[in-house]
Amino acid sequence: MIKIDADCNFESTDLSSNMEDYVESIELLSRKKKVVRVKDIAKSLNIKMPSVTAALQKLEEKGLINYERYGYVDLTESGKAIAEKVYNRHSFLTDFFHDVLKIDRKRADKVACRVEHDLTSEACKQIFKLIQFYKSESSENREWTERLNDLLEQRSLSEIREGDTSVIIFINESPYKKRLSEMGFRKGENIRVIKYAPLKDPIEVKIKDYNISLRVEEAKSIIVKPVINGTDEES
Amino acid sequence: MHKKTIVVGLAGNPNSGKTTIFNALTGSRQKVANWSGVTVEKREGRLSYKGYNIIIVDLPGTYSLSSFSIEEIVARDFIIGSHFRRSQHGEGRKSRFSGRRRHHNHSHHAQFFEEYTHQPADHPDVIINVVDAGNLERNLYLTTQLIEMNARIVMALNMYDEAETKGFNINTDTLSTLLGMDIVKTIATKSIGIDKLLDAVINVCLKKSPKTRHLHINYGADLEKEIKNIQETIWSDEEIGQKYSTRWLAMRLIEGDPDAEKKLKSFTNYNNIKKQVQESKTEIEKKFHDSIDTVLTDMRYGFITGAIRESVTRTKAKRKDLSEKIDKFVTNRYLAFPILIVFLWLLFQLTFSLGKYPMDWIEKGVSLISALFEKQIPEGPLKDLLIDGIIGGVGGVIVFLPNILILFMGISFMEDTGYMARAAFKMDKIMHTMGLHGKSFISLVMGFGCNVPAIMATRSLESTRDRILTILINPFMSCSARLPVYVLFAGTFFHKYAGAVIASLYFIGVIFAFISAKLFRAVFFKGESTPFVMELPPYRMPTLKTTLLHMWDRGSVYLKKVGGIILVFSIIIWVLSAYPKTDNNEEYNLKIEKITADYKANRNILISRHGEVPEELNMLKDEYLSKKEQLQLEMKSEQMKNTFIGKFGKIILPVIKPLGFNWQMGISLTTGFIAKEIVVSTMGVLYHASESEEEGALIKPLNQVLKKKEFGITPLIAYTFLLFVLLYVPCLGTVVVMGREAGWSWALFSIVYQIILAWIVCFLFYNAGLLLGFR
Repeated sequence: MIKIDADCNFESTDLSSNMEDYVESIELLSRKKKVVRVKDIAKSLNIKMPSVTAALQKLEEKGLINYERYGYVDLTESGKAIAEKVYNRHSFLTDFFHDVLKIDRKRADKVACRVEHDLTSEACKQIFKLIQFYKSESSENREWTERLNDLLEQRSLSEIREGDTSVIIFINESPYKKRLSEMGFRKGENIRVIKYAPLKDPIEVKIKDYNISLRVEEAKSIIVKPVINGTDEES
Repeated sequence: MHKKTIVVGLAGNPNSGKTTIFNALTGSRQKVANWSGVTVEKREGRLSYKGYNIIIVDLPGTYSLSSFSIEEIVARDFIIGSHFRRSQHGEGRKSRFSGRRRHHNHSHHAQFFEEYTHQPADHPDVIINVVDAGNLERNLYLTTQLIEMNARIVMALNMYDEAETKGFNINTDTLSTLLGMDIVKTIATKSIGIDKLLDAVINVCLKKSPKTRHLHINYGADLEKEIKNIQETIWSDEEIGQKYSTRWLAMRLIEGDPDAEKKLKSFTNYNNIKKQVQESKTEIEKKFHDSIDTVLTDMRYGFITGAIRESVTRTKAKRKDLSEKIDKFVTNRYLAFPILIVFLWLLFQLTFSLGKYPMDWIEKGVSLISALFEKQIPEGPLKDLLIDGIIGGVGGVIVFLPNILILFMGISFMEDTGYMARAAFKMDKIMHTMGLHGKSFISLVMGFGCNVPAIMATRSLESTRDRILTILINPFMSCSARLPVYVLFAGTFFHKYAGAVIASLYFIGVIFAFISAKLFRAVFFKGESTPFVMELPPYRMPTLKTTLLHMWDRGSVYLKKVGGIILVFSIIIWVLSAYPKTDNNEEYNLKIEKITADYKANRNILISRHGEVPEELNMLKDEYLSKKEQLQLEMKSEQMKNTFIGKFGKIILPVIKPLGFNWQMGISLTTGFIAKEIVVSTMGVLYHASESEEEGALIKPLNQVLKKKEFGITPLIAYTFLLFVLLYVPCLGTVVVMGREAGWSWALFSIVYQIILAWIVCFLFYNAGLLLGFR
């Protein structure tokens, strides 16, 4: 039996998701800055100042923060505890999307923000177990984790964002396959998406030191794996 | 002494600077034609060098020789022309250069061979492979295929200065040894290395080149084994084995070249060969878990990667990629379309507004010459033919020349700088929904000026299919010659809505272009998809020489190939519109004399009664002159009605009656085939009206006459007529250019299609209009 350390606390916070966001962002801001102002919170959550003020008053009523009008904002002890909880949940979800599902870190972070409040503590626990299991298995270099990685890392070229480099894994059978391979689109070749045309179709890519444009339809047949930036090695 | 002739084929990727090398080699001594049977351009140039006559044939730019597009077939067949004469071991490479060609007396083999044997200039002695040094890896792919064809190759390592800035350091000695061919560094835009290239070509012909050797690209043990199996099967018929490179044939067969297969059918062991090929294929695909094409491509690239590893070192680029910086603006999300519009607007203005001045000079010159002949030559049919038929016809041909020269200057500039590819990149999404290519856009926009140069501009499209499609829908772009007709009718019948009416016609034209494009794609080019793998070459400075040569090229193609035919047709049409003659001059001269006499008499009476009162006299004179002009127009109109075209216009009346048209419209539409603006002048004659709308004109202007009740033209009929003029038929010049660029059957098809389309659309429109109660 695999032993999972499920010590992490996923109990519900009894706060609305908005309130959770406030607490979380105050905590994160206070780690970065000495003092937290209302306008910092407004900026980081992209919410208007008056709404922030109203929310802060509610939080103060609940005894989660110390807050003076036009002054600094502080989390109380119980506030800190909640912030910890919310933040933990957020970061383990980000890990899940990034480390397991191989979604780019920035986007993984965004997705985590969207789902963190809606997951029940039960679902959180189960996902947490899965992550732990996956991590221990992949640290032992189990073959299945590698296969899973390969599968999850695969993208069609049309899903790669501007400026990103990827490496070709294979090209699906299509009428253009031959032409593409003759022009240098081959397994193991690095390919960088330079830009999308103003109307999002064709895509300009760079391969073998030259630039070429492909229609999205053609790019879909090219299966690639993102290359972590900085390791632009040519075979 | 008789000079020896060397035939050189120029092969290379698009954007490798092949055309610049060609220009640097041959200067203006080039001739442009089409490859026999296809509408792919063939350029040939000649030069003398160190006592040799060198013929240079510019092959279509291709990335490969195995995908079987028309361009690739043309290039491949040309190169093979020399190949099929060779035995496997490179012996008996008998060309014109080293001796006489071998004779073949086995009939079916001779036939196999004959198909690759065109005129003498179709057999290259040497292939110059132009390679972009800054993009070596991909360019060498074509080289590997040339090597496989046993061609004798000299490589022009072009733009090596650019490659050096990019940080490439190419050891040509090593590369030359590895590839088994001479390599000459060139910078074609500065004419550097051109003489050395020619020296190398001659050396190869004299077999004095130590580097040139026959090379087999090793495909690895697994593949080599199968190639050998096939070769052995082929050898079972000694005859093929002796004549053709069996290795090459084996390669072609394994790659599934339908051409090679078709031609092997006549051999006794065809079935055995086919079976062996199939077995080998299956074997290979099983071993590599991939299609045979991919395996072969991989192997070739493997060979290339190996050669590059040993001969190229890479340092850091000396300067940042300028192209990407420029592209930040040019293909920027927000700036892309404004920039494109500015470019197109400039191109349009230059072509058609600036081009108007030389056009006016030409027209003036032509009328001057006509006037000169008018005085010199006695009256008679010959005079009419010379002045109206020939001089008029020549004038009608060269009048397009300024447009064509300026447009191609612009297009050449856009292509050579690399902007053309970007324009296509931006527009492709829109054009592709219509089944067209991004590059079709330029031609279509130019169509609003004149369809003739616009159709010639489709040459920049690489795929013949896209080209034909773009040509076919071009006439739906309302050219400037249709504008006078629009202005006349819209102004006459729609007054303050004239602008909207004209705009609607332009818009409807575009709609029909796109509908037709979709239709043609679905009917004629079903299931064939052209991949849009379009290279975006780095921005480069165009050279004046290339631009001028390009202009000269197009201009001379137009004058020689198109002009001649237009001239012949316009003379024929002139004859049809001038004959049979109606001899009513006498009759009308009598009438005119009579009113002249009347006028004189009245004038005298007036003077004797009131003295010389200028107002009264002027009134009388005006009245007289307008009567006189009226009579002259009646005379002409009578003559026109009796000519072949006039009769034809009347014959078709039953056909156009359901559209609400009258016989005057029928004749005008018929003469409009020569050029759309002639519709207006014909109407002027037929309605006895003046074309000009100037105030105080002597006779009633056309726009007033058209409205007269007795002619029965309602606004509904007027709009139907405009629709018909928009759609009905490309003008003579356009048809001829279509014939040249797409083939005569397409030109004919276009005429038939458009007439039928115009009729149906107008019929539906007119009757729907009537039903809805419009008049």
